[in-house]
Amino acid sequence: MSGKCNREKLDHRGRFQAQGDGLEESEPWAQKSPIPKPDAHHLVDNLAESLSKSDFEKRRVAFTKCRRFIDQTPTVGMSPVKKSYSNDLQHRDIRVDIEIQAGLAFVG
Amino acid sequence: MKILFENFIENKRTYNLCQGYFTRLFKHKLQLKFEKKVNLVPNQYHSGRKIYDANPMYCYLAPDVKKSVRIILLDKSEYNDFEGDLRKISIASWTDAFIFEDQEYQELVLSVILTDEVVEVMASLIMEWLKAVEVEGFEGFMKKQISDYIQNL
Repeated sequence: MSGKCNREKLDHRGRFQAQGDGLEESEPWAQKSPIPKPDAHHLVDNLAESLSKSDFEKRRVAFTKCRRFIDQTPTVGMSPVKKSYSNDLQHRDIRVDIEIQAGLAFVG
Repeated sequence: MKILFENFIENKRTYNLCQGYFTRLFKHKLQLKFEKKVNLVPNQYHSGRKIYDANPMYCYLAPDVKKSVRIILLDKSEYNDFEGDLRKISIASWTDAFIFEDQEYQELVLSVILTDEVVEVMASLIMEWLKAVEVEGFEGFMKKQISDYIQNL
């Protein structure tokens, strides 16, 4: 035993969230290397599938905008930031958030 | 309704002027601490290339009170087809948590169509937010400010 800590450093972290109107669902990531676009889409799929049909419909366009942003990110990836997308001008707090907390995201 | 920086999506100069406007708002009008590297979260790709989508247009961090303010501007393509009084949807806001570089901030999000009148409401909300002790108490203030603004149109 060397006594050294073998814990891997997870430098690249973030989460997708569906929020507003009483909802708070989240799909986080924390990993050694930046999350690639296909893995990010997989988490968005998981988040969408975790919602009731009604909650999903309220955010259908927001999910599309979120996916478009992932796809449009250049191969070098995205720096930490938070973005919010909504369906409806009159209910903008009903939304899907992208939160890149540290490192890079959406490479490849 | 005179919309400020209306063409920000088509014109990068207008976009940059709008960000300068918010820097002046935070730094001079609201007299908040301002150091670009400490107080601003850039909306950019890892290459450093700026993203001109106004989501957010401006993101201010106040590390001493662990709070942030994120300002999203609506582009005219998003509201051109809206049938109704645009002024009534010119400001929406909510509170949330924002984790940035291992620090958790309580954030105020302002999603706006920018007018002089909306800026007055925003300034009032930002000042109250940064000094508020409890989020719940602030949320009551926030709802009342926006409700009063809409009712007085």
